[in-house]
Amino acid sequence: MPLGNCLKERRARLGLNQTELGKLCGVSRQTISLIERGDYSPSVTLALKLAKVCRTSVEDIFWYEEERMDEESDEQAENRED
Amino acid sequence: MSRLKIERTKAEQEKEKTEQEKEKTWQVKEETEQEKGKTGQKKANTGQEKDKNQNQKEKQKKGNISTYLKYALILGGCMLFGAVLGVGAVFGRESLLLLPELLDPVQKLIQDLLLPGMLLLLILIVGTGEICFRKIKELRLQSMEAEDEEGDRLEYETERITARGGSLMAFGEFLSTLLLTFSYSSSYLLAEVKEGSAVILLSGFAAYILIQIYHGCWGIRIVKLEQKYNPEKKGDPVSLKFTEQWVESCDEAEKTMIYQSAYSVYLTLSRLIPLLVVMTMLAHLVWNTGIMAVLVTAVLQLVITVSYMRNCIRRMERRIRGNV
Repeated sequence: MPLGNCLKERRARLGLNQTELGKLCGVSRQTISLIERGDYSPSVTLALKLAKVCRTSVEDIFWYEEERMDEESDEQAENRED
Repeated sequence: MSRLKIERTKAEQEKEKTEQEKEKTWQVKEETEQEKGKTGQKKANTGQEKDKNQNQKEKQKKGNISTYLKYALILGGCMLFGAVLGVGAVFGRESLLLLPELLDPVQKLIQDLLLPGMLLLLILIVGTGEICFRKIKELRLQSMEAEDEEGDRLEYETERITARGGSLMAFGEFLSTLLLTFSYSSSYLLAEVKEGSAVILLSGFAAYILIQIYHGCWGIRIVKLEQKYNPEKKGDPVSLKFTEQWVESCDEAEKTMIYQSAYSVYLTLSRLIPLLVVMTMLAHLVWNTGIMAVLVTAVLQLVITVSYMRNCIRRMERRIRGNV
């Protein structure tokens, strides 16, 4: 299961383009693009750097798709019960 | 009256106590029954796990047998194919032995076409290289200001044209090597050659060297162009350690891509080279092509396998030393 992320939204909030974010984190624009598209899962070091630049935690930017699906199905079940 | 009341309340209190005790004993009974149920479940689970382990072992056994069976079938198929080829070679022996003689006019033709062929290849290689380089430069300029999908598209186009240009030039080098090799033999050293042919051969060599030099220069220009737009990329293209320096300066996603590509090259070579070993051995058997080709391909196979194993072990050693 790939990692989901909202890096693009976080980057937009900071007003940075991919090249600038890449320079701040020490990676290329291509790597940022790959991460945003979900085609590449960053290492722990890079994920921590990205979180630091975005001034948030790693869990706020990246999530495990399986867990997100489970949470959504639980929410749907709760809504039906209500 | 008050005494009666006191006694009544005492009796009521005692009743309550006995009822509470009854409830407690009943709860304790329930708990023990629940625990019994749990241990029963645990036993059932361990029994299920044992069954699972047994099933897995049986599956593994079956898997092992089927793997060996498949291996035997593949070997049998290859032997059958070899037997068919061998029988065909016995019956077609005369025509097979004629093959080198049939190739003689082809070789003569190639020798005559050496100089024009090499010049044509030189022009094609230089032309391809220059067109590709110009296109790559344009795309690099455009990609500097592009973002998101447009940036990805331009970078992909750049990589594609670099790869295409490099591949075409490599193919051109391959053809020039074949052309040159077909054009000479030991007769040039041992026997007299016709006038002028030595000059033609030397010109062919000169063109071949020019092709090699141009390809090297093209590679250097591509690296310098990349470093101009991405200054974090390090490495002197002329240095022997260039590849290591370049990979070191790449970020993690680029490194992953390089490692994956290198591994797929290793897989391709490890499948291709044993085939080449067999082909050169057969060629030596049928046409007496000489032991050199067999030796070269066998050495390649050995080097690829051994160097891969050595690298794996070295990396494990470094990890262990790091932990210690």
